Amino acid sequence: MKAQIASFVMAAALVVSGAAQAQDFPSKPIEVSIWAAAGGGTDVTNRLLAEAMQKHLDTRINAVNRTGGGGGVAMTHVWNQDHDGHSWLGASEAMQVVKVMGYHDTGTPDWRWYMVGGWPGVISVPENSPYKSFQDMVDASKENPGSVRISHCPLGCVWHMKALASGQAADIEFTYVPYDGSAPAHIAAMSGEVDAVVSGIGEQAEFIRAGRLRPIAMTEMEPFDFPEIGQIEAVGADYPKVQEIPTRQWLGMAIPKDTPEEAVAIIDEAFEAAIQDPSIQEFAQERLMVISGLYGEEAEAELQKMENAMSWALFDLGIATTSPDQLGIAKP
Amino acid sequence: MLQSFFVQLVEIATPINMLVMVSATALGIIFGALPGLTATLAVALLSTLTFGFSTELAMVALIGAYVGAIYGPAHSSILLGIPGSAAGAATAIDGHILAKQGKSGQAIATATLASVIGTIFGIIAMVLLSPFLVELALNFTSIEFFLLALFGVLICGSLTAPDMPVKGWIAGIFGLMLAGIGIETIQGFQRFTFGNPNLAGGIDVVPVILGGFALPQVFRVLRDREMKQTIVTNIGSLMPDWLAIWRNKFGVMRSGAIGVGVGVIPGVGEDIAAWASYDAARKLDPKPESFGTGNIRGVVASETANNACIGGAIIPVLTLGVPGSPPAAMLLGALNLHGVRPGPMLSFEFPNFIPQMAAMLAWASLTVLVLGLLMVRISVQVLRIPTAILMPVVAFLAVLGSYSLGLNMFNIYMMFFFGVVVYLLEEIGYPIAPVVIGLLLGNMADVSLRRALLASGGSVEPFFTRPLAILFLALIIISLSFQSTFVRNLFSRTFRRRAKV
Repeated sequence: MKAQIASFVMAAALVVSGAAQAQDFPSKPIEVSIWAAAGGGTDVTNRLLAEAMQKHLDTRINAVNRTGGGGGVAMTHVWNQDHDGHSWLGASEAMQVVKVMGYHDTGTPDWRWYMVGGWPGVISVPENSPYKSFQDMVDASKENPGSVRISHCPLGCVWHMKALASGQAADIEFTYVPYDGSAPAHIAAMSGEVDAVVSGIGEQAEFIRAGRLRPIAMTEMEPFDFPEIGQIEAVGADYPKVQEIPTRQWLGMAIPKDTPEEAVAIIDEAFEAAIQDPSIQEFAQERLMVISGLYGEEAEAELQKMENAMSWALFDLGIATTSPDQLGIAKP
Repeated sequence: MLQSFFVQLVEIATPINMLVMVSATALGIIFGALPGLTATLAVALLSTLTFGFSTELAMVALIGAYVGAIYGPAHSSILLGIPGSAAGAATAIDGHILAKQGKSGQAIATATLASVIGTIFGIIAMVLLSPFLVELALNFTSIEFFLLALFGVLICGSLTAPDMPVKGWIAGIFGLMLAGIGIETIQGFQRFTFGNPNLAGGIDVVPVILGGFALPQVFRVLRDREMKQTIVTNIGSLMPDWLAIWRNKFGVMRSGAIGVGVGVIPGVGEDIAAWASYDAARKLDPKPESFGTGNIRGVVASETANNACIGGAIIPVLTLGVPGSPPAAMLLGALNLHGVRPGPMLSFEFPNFIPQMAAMLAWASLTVLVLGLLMVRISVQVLRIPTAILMPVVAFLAVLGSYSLGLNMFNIYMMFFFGVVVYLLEEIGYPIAPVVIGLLLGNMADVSLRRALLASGGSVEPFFTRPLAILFLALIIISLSFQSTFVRNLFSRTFRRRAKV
């Protein structure tokens, strides 16, 4: 408790004295504006990342939740600050659709991305479900198109894309039922309202461990080793077309791309060190997160593909009303 | 579970925990009492502030703030007729009239007692019934959500000026239409937004409540010369009306049960609990027409239910990882922040966690009792403030409250718009309460119905084959037929005849 009070006092002191430092970067405390609410994956990851990175940066990193507008509120705030590396965006895969959805004017090429990691997606069924494998679901759908109902987070979210990708890869028609988030989507599967749910493996882990949900297949190319349960096969093993919608869930942060080079170099270095930090590694292991650690050009290349794919998919679904063409987003 | 609860009750009572509990509860009460600052906001704010605390201490702070903020609106609802949040809006109906009659002190004290009793219901449910209630929550599919919302909307008809129930329905439908605005979530289609991005997210309930309850009061004071002089100087007794609660013990139990039940259902919160309980109390009262004219039972019903809802809402958070109400969603976030992963495994991994949370609730309710009764003395002084000062303050709070929600100017415009609209509606005899209910439940009714049909392949059969759905259908039919005077007379006649025999 004493240490906590002390750290609060220290933080306050740093806020006051920050401006007095002579060094160019960091010359004051850094603020991460997290676009999602406190307690979610984006939030927890960014708070841990901030703590790990401030060990390597000579300043305090404060995390603030600026929710709303599908991420637009946080992005607008960060974009309106000086682009000097002191204002970061707590980001996730949702940032790849803000442009097409009209939540913010910037897109993937306008930011420099730092990806900590993310969850692979998994299709699960309630414990008493007749489906034993993804092939069972495919067979049932072939016999009776639309008879297999899959719940997922809101329209256009990453797990909706993953569910679509799995269905399209096997050339079958699922019925996709959107919920307000992954949590109610899990409940819908457990109560038998739908036949299966697609969400992140980390989000489902507690239900899988308790035996309430039974994992059927990963919506990815690679199988996944679930501790205590064993290997979960991937849809991609039989249906490699699943990678045609190149989306993946990721958590991390971003800074405006026109941040001065010196600051970028310092942040890059701190990020690389922080990824190796035991707190991040432990968190990833506990939450079944797959560490990525990509940043800069490599991250942008991957996320650009994702922005293209998701933007066009959203436009084709009629959720996004502006054509990605007009926004300069290439068709995949 | 019970034994472990009592052990926890003693174990968490350390001085530092109690200090944090008292300050957090006081903060919660103030947040709740101030219009526009909601329980959700109080818990959200504290969950980031307590990030550096140990899990136990952080939870003590959050539970304290949660209970305090659900109780807090009772003060502003009764004294000013402006509910601090939707959860307190049902309290305002009878509570404010009681204050005008010079019984404000007793009304608040009784509301305090009712809140404490309600919280205790929640604790009992958590300790004894949580495994059973979780299974109940899992039986709620979209069909039941739709029927529940429909049932809630039907409440509108009875929340009206007694002369014309139809006006309540019209106001309720107005609320439902408001709920239709925004991007709907099944197909992502923009409805009635007229291309305005501010409307894309739908209409928030807080500006409607603040505009609807606060501004018309200001307008009326500006209009009527006499009202400028009338100040309620009589505040009456400051002790709770123990007798009223004792005589109404079955009503209190019913309110507690409704509160817990509504709380357990994922996504339906304190506001619905309060309204549903108020409606049940009114319908089952021997003198339903006395509700809305300053009946203390109306205050007791809504305050018991909204606090009972807390314990109910925490159960699905801990056992399913799904929040039962918006503030509980913030609590879930805070638990994740502290590395506790709520879900079906929680009771195996941390067997003491649920009893510990229940013990915190128990201490929070005791704190509310003490602080609440102490605060009555101070907060009733608000009534001594001359109207010329009070009304500008009310208008200011309405503006501030609307803005504090999402820091959005658009909500202030909305608040003024609804202030004017509701003032005009009330002048021609339409009540505001059904508008709020319609807005709260409209989206749930709409989305749940379409989701249910999507999942059933367009068939309405499950509406008549699922046991819970049938129960709700029966409730709806009973509730509807009680709206008709014919059925009511028939019912009371048979009842009387039997009593004679």
